[in-house]
Amino acid sequence: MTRLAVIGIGSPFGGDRIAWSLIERLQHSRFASAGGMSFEVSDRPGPALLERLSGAERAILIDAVAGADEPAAWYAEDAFARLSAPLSGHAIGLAETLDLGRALGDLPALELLGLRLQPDGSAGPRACAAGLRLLIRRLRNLSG
Amino acid sequence: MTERRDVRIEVPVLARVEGEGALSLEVRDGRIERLQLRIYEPPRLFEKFLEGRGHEEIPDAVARICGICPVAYQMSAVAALEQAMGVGIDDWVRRMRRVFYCGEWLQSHALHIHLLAAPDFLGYDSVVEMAKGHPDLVRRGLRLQALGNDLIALFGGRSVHPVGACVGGFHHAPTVAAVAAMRTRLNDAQEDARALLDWALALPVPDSDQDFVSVALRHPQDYAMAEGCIVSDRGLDIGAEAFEAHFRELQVPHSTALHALLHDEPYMVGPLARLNLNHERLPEALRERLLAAGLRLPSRNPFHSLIARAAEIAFIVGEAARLLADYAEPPLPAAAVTPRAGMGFGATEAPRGLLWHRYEVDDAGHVRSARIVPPTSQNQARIEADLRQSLELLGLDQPDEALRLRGEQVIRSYDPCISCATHFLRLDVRRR
Repeated sequence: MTRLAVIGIGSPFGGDRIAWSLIERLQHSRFASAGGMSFEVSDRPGPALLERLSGAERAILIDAVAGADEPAAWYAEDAFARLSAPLSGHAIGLAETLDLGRALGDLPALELLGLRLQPDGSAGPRACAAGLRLLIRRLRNLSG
Repeated sequence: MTERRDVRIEVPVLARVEGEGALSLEVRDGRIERLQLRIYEPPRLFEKFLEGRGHEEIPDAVARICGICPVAYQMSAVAALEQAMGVGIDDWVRRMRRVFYCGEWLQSHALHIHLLAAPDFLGYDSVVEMAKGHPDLVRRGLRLQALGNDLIALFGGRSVHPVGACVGGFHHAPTVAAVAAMRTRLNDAQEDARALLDWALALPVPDSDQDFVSVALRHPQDYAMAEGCIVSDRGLDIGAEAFEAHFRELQVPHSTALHALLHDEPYMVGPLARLNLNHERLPEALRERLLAAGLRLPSRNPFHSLIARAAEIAFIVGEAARLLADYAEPPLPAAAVTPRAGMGFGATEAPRGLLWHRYEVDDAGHVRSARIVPPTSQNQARIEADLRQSLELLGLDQPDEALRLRGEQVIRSYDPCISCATHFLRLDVRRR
């Protein structure tokens, strides 16, 4: 079983790619090679996110957020869902997906990291660097 | 005596459909005076975006039209461009395109059945509420949808807006090991698919007996997906190039998507139309399963669309496994393309029904003109006809909430993809 799944969410293009960049930096890090942690990206998965979360004891979701105060920050679920993902056409966005997972009793413990987008939708360099610092600090704590 | 009352129902935003639309209903003196499926998303003008672009760009560009059925757009586009430029494809490409398409049907049908339609039939407002009472049903749906997504990604590189298809074939062939792993998952999923069909066949659906025209592709041997002639149950049997001689699109004031008519009549495309026209092409065991459950085909009940989707899932899980059984990597995953000027037509079966493309290309393989007719715009007139009949059958004296719910249930049973449908804007300029 994967103890910790770290999943970057978003489009592979444009500013929304910022979570992909963060994950790519960690995929070849000592955290990835230590075992017990998985690092992956997911292109706007919708309900398929639940499949990605299955089997994990704990998960960290990383996504771009709009209108945030900090370049990178940990969020409560409602604020994260509101800032990170517009509703899909089927009205099954991140918030609904997490609600569905909770209704099924299938959600692992969740931590949510938001990386701020610029007003023009691009990813600012500060957000990626700040997000990386927060994430590495958290991974160190979790790996004891 | 039944009370006759005036009813005015407005559903300003339809829930659990792809895109944004609305339903307006006015009843006066016990008769429907106005019924409109209103599609108000702005036109997206996709055909104009394609003009001037090289054939290499088209599969990736049209995949962007829809996040739910990108493979269908790619498959109709490459078929049309291959015809336009005289590109022949080999049997490996033909078979693997069918597998690729199986992935899309699987993810789209599983999504629709479990997350969009099932709450209607089981009396829930949403899948989140339904999951509390039917967790195993939802989990099974999510497993099947994830398998479909992964099957798309096997050939497309990713499941959302895949990038693996090209004119002539694929950019890349999956490895034997990756296909073997997928084949194992497909074989394991057959039990889920069988159980889903059993559940769908046992689901109580409203009675409805409607006289509608079914239109779908038909292939001489296979259950048609990416190849075949366009046929109807009224005798139509044409190649894709003859589509414009029989089908007419027209603009109506309440929709930014065109309505389509076959010989001036509404018609149905999609899973039930396909099953009505092609059930003899299903494997015998599956045909017998449908027969044993009492499903009489062709069906005149549009609510049987859910059963049709479940039957197609049962079919494609086995079909994909069959097509991958003797998989080998080809020397080249795509035929060589030598651009030349021409006109080509492509018709394939998107999850929601017939998707028709026409391209004219110049001698460098750049698109001079494009036309796309998606399934949702073809179904619009039929949906409105179905709504009239279904609401009258339910009884126009029913409470507003019951009429609204039945109306939404009818619309959702077609799984309209409104974002796909709003391609077109006709601009009339009158100068004096």
